[in-house]
Amino acid sequence: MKISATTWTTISKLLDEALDLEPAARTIWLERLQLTAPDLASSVQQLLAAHATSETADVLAGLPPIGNLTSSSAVQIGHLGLNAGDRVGPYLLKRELGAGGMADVWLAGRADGAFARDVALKLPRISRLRQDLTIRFARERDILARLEHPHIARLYDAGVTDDGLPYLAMEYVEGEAVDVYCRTRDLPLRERIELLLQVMAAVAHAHARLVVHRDLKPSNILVTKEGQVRLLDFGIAKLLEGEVTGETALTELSGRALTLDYASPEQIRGEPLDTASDVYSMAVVAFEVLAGSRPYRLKRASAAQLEEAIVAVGAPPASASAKDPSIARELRGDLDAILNKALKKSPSDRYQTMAAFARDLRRYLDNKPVEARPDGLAYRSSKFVRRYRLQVGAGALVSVALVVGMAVALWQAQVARQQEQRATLESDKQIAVAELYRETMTRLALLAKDEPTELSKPNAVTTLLQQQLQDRAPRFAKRPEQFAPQMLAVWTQLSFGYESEAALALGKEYLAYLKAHDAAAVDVIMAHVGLSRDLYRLQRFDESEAMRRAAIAWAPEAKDRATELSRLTVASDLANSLRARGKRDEALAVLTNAETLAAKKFPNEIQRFDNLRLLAVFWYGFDDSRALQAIEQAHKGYLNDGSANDDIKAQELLSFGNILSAEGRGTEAEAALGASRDVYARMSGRSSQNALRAIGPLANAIALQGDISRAERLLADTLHEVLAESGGSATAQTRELRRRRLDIAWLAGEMPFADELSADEVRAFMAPTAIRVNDALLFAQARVWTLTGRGGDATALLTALGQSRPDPGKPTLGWVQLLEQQAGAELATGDAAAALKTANALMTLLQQNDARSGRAYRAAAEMAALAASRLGDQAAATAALMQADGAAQAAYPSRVERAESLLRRSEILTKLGRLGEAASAAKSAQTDLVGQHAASPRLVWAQRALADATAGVAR
Amino acid sequence: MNDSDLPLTHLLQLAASGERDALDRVFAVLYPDLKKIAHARLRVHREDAMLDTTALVNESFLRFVGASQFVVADRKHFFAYAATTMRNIIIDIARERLTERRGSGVERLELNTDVANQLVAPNGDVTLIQVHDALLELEALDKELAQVVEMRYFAGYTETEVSELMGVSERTVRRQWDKARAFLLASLQ
Repeated sequence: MKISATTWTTISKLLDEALDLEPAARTIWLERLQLTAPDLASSVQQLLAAHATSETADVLAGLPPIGNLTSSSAVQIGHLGLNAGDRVGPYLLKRELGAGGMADVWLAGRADGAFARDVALKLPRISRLRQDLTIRFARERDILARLEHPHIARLYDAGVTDDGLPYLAMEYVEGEAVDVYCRTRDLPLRERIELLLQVMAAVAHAHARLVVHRDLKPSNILVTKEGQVRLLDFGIAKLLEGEVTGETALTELSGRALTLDYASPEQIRGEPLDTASDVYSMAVVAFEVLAGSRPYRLKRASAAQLEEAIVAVGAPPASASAKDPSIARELRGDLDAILNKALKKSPSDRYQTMAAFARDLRRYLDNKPVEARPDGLAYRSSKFVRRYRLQVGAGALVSVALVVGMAVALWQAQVARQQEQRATLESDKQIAVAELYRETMTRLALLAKDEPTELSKPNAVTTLLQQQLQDRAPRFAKRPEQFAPQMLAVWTQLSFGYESEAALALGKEYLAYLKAHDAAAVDVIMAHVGLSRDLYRLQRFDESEAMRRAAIAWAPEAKDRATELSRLTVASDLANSLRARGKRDEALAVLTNAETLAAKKFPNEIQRFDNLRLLAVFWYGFDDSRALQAIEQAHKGYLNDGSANDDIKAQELLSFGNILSAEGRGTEAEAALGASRDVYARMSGRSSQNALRAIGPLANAIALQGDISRAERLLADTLHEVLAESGGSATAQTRELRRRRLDIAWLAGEMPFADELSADEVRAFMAPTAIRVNDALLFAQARVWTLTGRGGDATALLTALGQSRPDPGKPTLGWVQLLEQQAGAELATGDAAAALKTANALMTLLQQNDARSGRAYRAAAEMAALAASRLGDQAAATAALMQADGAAQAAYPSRVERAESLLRRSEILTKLGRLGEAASAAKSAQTDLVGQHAASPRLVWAQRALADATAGVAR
Repeated sequence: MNDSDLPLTHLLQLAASGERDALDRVFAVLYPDLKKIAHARLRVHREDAMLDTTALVNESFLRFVGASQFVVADRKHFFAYAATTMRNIIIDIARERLTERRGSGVERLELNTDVANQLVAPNGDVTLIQVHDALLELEALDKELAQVVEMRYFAGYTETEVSELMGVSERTVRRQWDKARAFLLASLQ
């Protein structure tokens, strides 16, 4: 076929045209070409025919083997052109089986006919052995020759020929490499694992005899027609290694290039090898056999890069490497974890023995939980975030970090719980949950890579988690005890993330699942707890309480420790909700019952201290001395126990500090609140909303001790920090700080009030949508107005605040404080009748709630007496004053409050004609008011009270 | 100007255009490596033809760059050059083998048997020389097609690698390979 260069250009174009057509259409195309360009048609036809042939015969698919290269081919490798019929030691070569980078292999028989059996004679491509090393060679050979195992190809003989060529006579195995065997037969996963187990049994057998394979790879693992594995070349690498002096760069180069894929990191680093190296290589083989590709396959990478990957980069999950989605699904979870563990960079992180590796695969086959634990979430998440920092947009990163943070918290909780309960059953559950999370992380990683925008969608992670849970359900159909904890984990995650609706749905499903599977009482009760909390968050209070009552009533016959403790938890929850909603009688009954039980059976459990803390909160503002008693007990308990988490610690210290403040123990209060602030700051940051929960009360405690300027400085500094950190937009924090400044200004009697709300602000804050959020601030403002004589404004504000409450008239702390302020405001306007009514209502409410010895009751009684005395009803005033005296023991939070009380009494006593007492009360008040702002209305009030008392005396 | 300051591309170009000094220099550094790779390729059996030539050439390239402190300007030229060199080495080896077997000089063999079978048959030396001769014909007509054969067949680069080195799509490489193969087979028949 002679073609000129110019003609070729045309022919080449015609070929393109023809090859673009379907083969069937080419005939017609050719016929037409014969008409239009007959001179070219025959060449094109010839080429197309050749093309068809080359397609079917796979022409030029690779270089043809060229046999042994002779020594004259410049590289000092290989044997001098051996041919069939040549003799090597006692063997006669029959035919060449193969040639690799390290050795040529021939089928051979004994020249002396001693054994009828043919052997595979391996002729290492190394130069002659030094004489002094032949002894060692022989020793190694003897060890290997003793390796007898049905799955290990025997080493029959090894020796050195007279002219110094080493040879190894091994069992000749007819079979296919394990990867090829599996691929061509399209074996199901289970059968592939069975094959791997055969290999591993063989390796474990050798390991028990301290022989390391060192070169595990599919081409060394043959499977016979009968499906039996034969492992080749055991220990050969060791036998050949080191002794060779003239080893060429080529054997090293090609040898390494061929086996690098299965080499362990320590092998690549050239470190001494032990059985752990085989575990690693075996894992690579398993990875390839199961997933269909090797863990490290870098496109167009140099061997150096591959080396680096093996030494430095973590292996991807096998499931992510499998092309077949159904196989990927099977690999996900247990098998991913098993391979991951065996592929660890550090030998000590891998399975400690090949047998352990095999055992875990066996456990997988038997549907038992596997030993391999997914990498700790914290570890993987941090890696994950680091790895995808670039891909994921800033917004997405925030949400990822957030969710990861939550996941980590959850993880830690699980770890803690796990340490508590070491039973196998428990750890199986933990494994199942951990696995769920790890799988989700894998999905997340893929999502982050493929569709980073998806990840930034709200709830992307929990959505994925829920999906994952659903996907896993069928797998756990027979293991409900392992599936339930996974449901619980996802549900908890949803609740943590305030996805309350979704949480509620899953929680109900979970509860039904538990009941359907006869779960333990404690699990059912805790499911109620979770559900009731979801309902509470959704403000479905009645349902929440019903759920809690149901929990307490569940399985009364179950009296085991865990169940009873869970009942204590429910009791705390229920009591707290009842208290907040003003159902004090029931709340107290629940708390008391719980404490009775706890004191008897669980005196040192954290559940008891939680209960005591809630008992303290119950009394706070009603009867602070009882509150203090309970909180001191709880506080001591928490301290001794030490297991409380930060959140509980901070809360407990906060309650403790607030109660100490109410009891006028400012220094101690300051210490507790400072500690609470520190815990919150550590948890969420110095100017976080959490930290502010403690900083406000802390400033208050400082002010109560009379150190106004220090309290103000604390608030100013905090405000500064909050603004700097938020860029001036932290409304919740600034609102809280402003409220505290008003409170402190009120305490100091500051005139004029620099921080007072403007009329516009008050209007805005009182809007129906805003009033609940701003109620504490508005309340503080009302108090200031009462003090500065704007009682009318204060009354209006307080009335609005009262109407905005969800539970007007109910005995809640908020209502008590409101009534007290309202009576004060009404007295300030001069409306004594209204004040009397309000004060009486408050007294009734407190009487009904067993709070007659508290500070609030005393204040209410004093105001009732004052109102009555102003109305000229001396009898009522006297009676009310006696009721106030009944609570004389109650502490005052500060000297200012005591002064106010004394001034009220001074006026009452004056009106009752008990002038001496009135004057001395007024004088005491004046002493207490030292340190008030120079223009404080209280100073005026005290002067007038003293003047009235004195004038009365004079009269 | 010191040679070692020259960009690699330039040096390879000089070498390719027959500049004696440059050629020697490049050759001295590269030849042993490439020879080893060519040998390894010939030794590897088809069934486990997992030898990653590209990785080896890449290593050789890195070593070359490292040893000679050349500026790494163009890897493509290196790979192209390496492919040509490997082809030459392989043909040299084949000729040597044939000489050994025949005990005589190289002669063009006339083939009676089916060429397609011949090309996949195991007596490689003959085949290699035939392919080389046919490739010389193709080279005269279409340098690009010949280069694809050189890279794929002799050097063992993958389709993807060839497409990258030649700066064309994989589809184009596949088409060029198809046409070249058809040409070689037709001219051998």
